[in-house]
Amino acid sequence: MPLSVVFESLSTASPEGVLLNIAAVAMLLCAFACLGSKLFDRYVIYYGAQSIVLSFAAAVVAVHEHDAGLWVLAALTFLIKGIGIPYGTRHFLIERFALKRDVSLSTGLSTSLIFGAFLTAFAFLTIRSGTVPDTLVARAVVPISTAVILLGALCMVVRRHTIAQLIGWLIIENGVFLGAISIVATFPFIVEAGVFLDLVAAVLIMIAFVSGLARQLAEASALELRQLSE
Amino acid sequence: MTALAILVVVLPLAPALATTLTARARPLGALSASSGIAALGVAVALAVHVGSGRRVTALSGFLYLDPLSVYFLATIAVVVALASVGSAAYMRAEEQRGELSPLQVRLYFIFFAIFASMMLASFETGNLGLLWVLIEASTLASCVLVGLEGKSVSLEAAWKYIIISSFGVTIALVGTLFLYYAAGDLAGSPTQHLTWSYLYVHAAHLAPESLRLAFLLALIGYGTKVGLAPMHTWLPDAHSEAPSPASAMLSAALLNTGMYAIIRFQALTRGALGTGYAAHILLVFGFASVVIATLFIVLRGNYKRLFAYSSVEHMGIIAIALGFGGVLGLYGALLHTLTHAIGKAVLFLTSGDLVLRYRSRLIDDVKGALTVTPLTGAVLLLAALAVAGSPPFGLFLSEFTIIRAGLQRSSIVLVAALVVLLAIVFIALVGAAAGMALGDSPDRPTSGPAYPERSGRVLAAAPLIAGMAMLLLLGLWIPGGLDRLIMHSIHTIS
Amino acid sequence: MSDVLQIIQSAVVLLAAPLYAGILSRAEAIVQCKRGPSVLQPYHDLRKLLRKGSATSDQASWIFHGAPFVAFACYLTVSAIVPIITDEPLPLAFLADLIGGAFILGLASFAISLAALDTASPLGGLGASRTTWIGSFAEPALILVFFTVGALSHSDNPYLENHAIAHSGAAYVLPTHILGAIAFFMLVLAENGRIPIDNPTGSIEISMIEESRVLEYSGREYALVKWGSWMKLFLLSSIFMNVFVIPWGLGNATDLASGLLGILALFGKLAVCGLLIVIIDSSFAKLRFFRIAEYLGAAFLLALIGIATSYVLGS
Repeated sequence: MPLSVVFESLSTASPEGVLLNIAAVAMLLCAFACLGSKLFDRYVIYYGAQSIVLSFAAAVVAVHEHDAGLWVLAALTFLIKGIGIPYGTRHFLIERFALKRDVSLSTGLSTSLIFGAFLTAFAFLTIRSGTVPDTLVARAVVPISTAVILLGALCMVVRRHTIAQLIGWLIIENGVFLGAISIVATFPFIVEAGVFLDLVAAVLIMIAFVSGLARQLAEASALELRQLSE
Repeated sequence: MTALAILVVVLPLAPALATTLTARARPLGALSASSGIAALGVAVALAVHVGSGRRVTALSGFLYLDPLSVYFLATIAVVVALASVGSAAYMRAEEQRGELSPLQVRLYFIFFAIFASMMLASFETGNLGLLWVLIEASTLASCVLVGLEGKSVSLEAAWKYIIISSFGVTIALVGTLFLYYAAGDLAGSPTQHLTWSYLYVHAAHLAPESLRLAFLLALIGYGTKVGLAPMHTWLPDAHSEAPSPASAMLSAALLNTGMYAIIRFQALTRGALGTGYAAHILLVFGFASVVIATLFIVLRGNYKRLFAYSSVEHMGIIAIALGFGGVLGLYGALLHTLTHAIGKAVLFLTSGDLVLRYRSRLIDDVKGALTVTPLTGAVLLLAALAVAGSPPFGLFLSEFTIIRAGLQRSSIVLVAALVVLLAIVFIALVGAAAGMALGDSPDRPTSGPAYPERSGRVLAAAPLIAGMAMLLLLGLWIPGGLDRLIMHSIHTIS
Repeated sequence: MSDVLQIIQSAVVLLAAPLYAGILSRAEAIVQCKRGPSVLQPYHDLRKLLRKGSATSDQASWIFHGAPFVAFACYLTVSAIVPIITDEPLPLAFLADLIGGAFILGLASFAISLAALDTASPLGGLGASRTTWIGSFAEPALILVFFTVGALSHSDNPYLENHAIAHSGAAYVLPTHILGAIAFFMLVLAENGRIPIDNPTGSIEISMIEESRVLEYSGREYALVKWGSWMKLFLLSSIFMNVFVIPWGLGNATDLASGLLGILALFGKLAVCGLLIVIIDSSFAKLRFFRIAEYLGAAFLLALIGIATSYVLGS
């Protein structure tokens, strides 16, 4: 029995491949913008922009694969990650508690950007091995998505403010999603939808926690975690 | 069979539906306890049916039962039953003291139900993607329980928990993606490429490079959930801040859910990578967990944190047993999962009684529990002995099996190191428990009996006695049915 | 024939640079709803300055008097070696590659900075130290940008880079190239002291960066300095357009007619580049001084990501 190739990832030269590649780079830049910013408003804007680019990338893959499930995911990404979550975070947290400037950074902006550059280089150097064939655009996109994941993690590490950590996690999630659509476009829809549902539930719970914490601590700008140690 | 499988997931949800009618802890607790016990009954029925080596597949692999999954299902069902009886008593006491508002009682029962149901469901799916979704869902539900008290400390613990474990399971998702990618060259539909039974049959044809990455990422990801060091940092905070029955569920059930996923992934690596790769990684993480947990157990402070670090230690032991491998190693790992689950559930339920009684979570504030609350004090001492691995309880037997497996399949140095660490933990844990149980009655007045009503006392005592009885039984004699179930489980993964 | 083109190319840079600057300031004024000076104003300025005598500080040494000539010579040299109207090397192109060109531009800036220090005027020293500080961030980024184009063409020769991008649609849309182009444009703005680094029309000495270095000059020397800075803008804009954005439409080194057509094409391209600069000049504000490092850091980062991307694709 011949082995059937179940999925075809996009090739580097095809127009869709080029678009996907550019979208991935744009997402990486959004992650950097987030890392290099200090205003809560900006975090949310950059995250929203990144999600919209991601939904565009999903649509590109959907065109190529003729897959209805991917179209639905692209639309969901646009509506929920691109519009819903940024709006919710802004409305329920940032404006409600009048948050402006993130002051609880453990390193300076430039230092964290330099770290970010190192992480990007690291991602590119390590994912070079033979996991993904040369001809596929995934070979360029998988390192980028790894870099986005690492940058999100960096965001969570260098910032102690809960909202920054929330955004950092969401960026990681975007990175995973980007990697997923570029190497395995045909991931079963039920699973993808479940992942999405979990994400939305997680964000809702996190927003509830953050606003609970903000109310507890009265001084909303000091939303740092420091009581538990050991 | 499919109907039973669905029933076991749906039953624990009954209290969540009932919260629309009432917010009183008494009826909700009673319903929760009875539905928990009913779910245990159904799980045991499933175990008896499937345990003889049968497999049930339905809904194109999204529902899948084999001996390993029913073994875990039954283990977690035991914990759920114990914890739901315990929470009936605990929530009633908290409500009477006015510590919790009706909304909090409602939230507790809703999310306790979802938590239990999602965990039980995760053992019933053969689809690794859906497994991820369900484990993440159970994490989210448990987060709400951790943050339930609404104090800034518990919210902070909940925040730490949700952030770290969400990050962890996201990594596990990447691992799952790479597994799917590793299966790319196989024939079969995309859904099959995530179906465990299909992948297991074709394990030898998975792409080795991607598979290696997949296992490593899955281990780190689900290991965050399991509490393997160095990804364990959320665990002591979450366990010490959650209401005690919820801590019991976290420690005795949720950690095992993560371990179950790791066992499934490990079984898939054997075909293409051999046993060595996964075993080495598991040994490294296992020893790291045991060492770090030992260091923190020696520090005396908060007793719920102490028990939490003990969970890290035991999860490390299970990882080591999986790393040793072989029939003996797997037997030890599976048996230890069960015995640790029961022992830790009992231990956290006693800690709930102590919190209610002494209003403190510090070891030094608790003294003379044996005279103040004789039953709780006695169970605390015995359960600590059991969890520390002393005969004649079940954990002694399972740890002994693991050490034998190590002698058989690994170097004497590793085994000797493990034994030394276990001895240190034994001294520290039993020492702390003895300090709490024995001694004079406390210096400061305690805040009255933990459970004012007689029925509350009975409800609180029941899981403790039942759990200790099971531990004793497992230490003296392993029933033939259980033995067969474990052997069949081992056959499904090796 | 290529010798003639060589002369024509340098002459174009020399003669059209003031016009380019004039058009930019006129267009900017129009965008800001003002009338603005005539586009020929720079020529009038030059004529006036060249006729005037100069008054210099009695502290000034020969360095002060020599610097404008050195700088002007540097710009003239660069005009001979980069692709401005032809896409094939002209006789003098062997002098330097892109990195060499950057060194020559650096020499010009160094000479002006020395001259600014030479008069011991406090504002000159301030300007010199600021420019040097900016340069220390801009130059690593510039080198990285050259590496991004180098990664695509396996060369640091501007002509080969032009060919690599002109002849391959795939290379043109690669993120490596796009990011490199954006980074280079940011550096063009920084090098020429445009918004958001410096305000070219600003007149407050204390906040000036580029201009404060040349405050002490007057008369003929000032004419040379101004002319040089217009040439620099013209040169960098042409490189940006010819190597990065529109690598087509350049002339042939052996054919006079196509070289002349190349001049026309160049004017079209510069119109595009000028439009970009005008838009940025009128829609952004000048950055606070210490945020300039972040701006240049961003350019550095873009170039770095660009290189990383090319590294994986192995192109």
